[in-house]
Amino acid sequence: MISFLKTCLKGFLTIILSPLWVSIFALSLVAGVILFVYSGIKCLIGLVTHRSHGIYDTVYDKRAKEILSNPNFNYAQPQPPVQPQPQPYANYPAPNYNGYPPQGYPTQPPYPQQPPYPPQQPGYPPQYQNPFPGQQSYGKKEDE
Amino acid sequence: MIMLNILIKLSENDKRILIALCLLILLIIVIVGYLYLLVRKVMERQGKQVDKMMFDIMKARVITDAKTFKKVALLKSHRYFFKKTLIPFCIMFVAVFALLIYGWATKDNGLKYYAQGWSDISIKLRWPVQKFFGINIVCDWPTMVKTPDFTWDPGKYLAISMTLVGGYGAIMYLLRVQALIARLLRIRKLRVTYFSKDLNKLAEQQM
Repeated sequence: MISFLKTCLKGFLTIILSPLWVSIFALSLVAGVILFVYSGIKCLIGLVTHRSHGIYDTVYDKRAKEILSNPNFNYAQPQPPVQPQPQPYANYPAPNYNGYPPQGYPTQPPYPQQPPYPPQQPGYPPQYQNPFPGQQSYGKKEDE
Repeated sequence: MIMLNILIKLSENDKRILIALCLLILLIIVIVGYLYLLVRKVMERQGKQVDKMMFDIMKARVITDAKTFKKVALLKSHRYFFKKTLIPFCIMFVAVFALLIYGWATKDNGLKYYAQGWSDISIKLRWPVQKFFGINIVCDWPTMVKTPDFTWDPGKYLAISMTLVGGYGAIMYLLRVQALIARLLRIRKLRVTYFSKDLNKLAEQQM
């Protein structure tokens, strides 16, 4: 009986507040059309610039996939936050800054390997040596 | 009380109409109440899509603050909305385009064939009314004045079929917008519950 009365009260409130929710819904319909057009333009731009526009293709999803595919993943341990970076040239391989060749590339460099330096470097010729050994040269001091 | 009785003199018929009116209003309130519960359940189910979209990210703990959570969840929700709204928009566009093309082909740019088609196919009823406190209220079942005309006319059937197709697309679009609102509410709720600084939650984790 109480639940029935509650339902009646909800119905009564819904009828009383109908102008409010109808107007909110009407505004949402208009906003939906605007959102559709905006998303469509963004999707077209994404197609032209080869950017992904999928639901599960964000940087966060890729990072989550990497973490979850790791067998040593510990749920209790917090993960480092992701900094989203724009990737306008997704088709090109990423530049290598760490000195290691990327996966799938040959480990041997294409150029001939240079011979190693001799273990004992000869000293400077006498004309380039410091004529005042007691004085410091310009630049960083030794104790810094 | 005597004054009130003098002012309001109700006949037996008036009393019956008054009781029927009260019952009708009560019935409408109950139906709206149950409709509210139904819409709420449907919206809760639609809002669960946010959980599905954000589950892996939250499980891997990639996002650790409410602001980023809201940003990513809204982005995904909008992309999902676009993907799901493409078909209803295409359906509505085809329906409207077909009506306009037919009007242009038959030199009827004002789309008079559309109104005429609906007028031909519809029925007309006459509702008997009775005065109650100066207001005309329906008091009996209606009588049919005009029957529908089903004779073949391409404009008439095109108008009806394209209206039904466009209406189907419009209803689909309304449901998508409802789902969008449901996801928005779910994102707000999750943002509060998941990232709130609740000491009880912290105590449970530390125990």
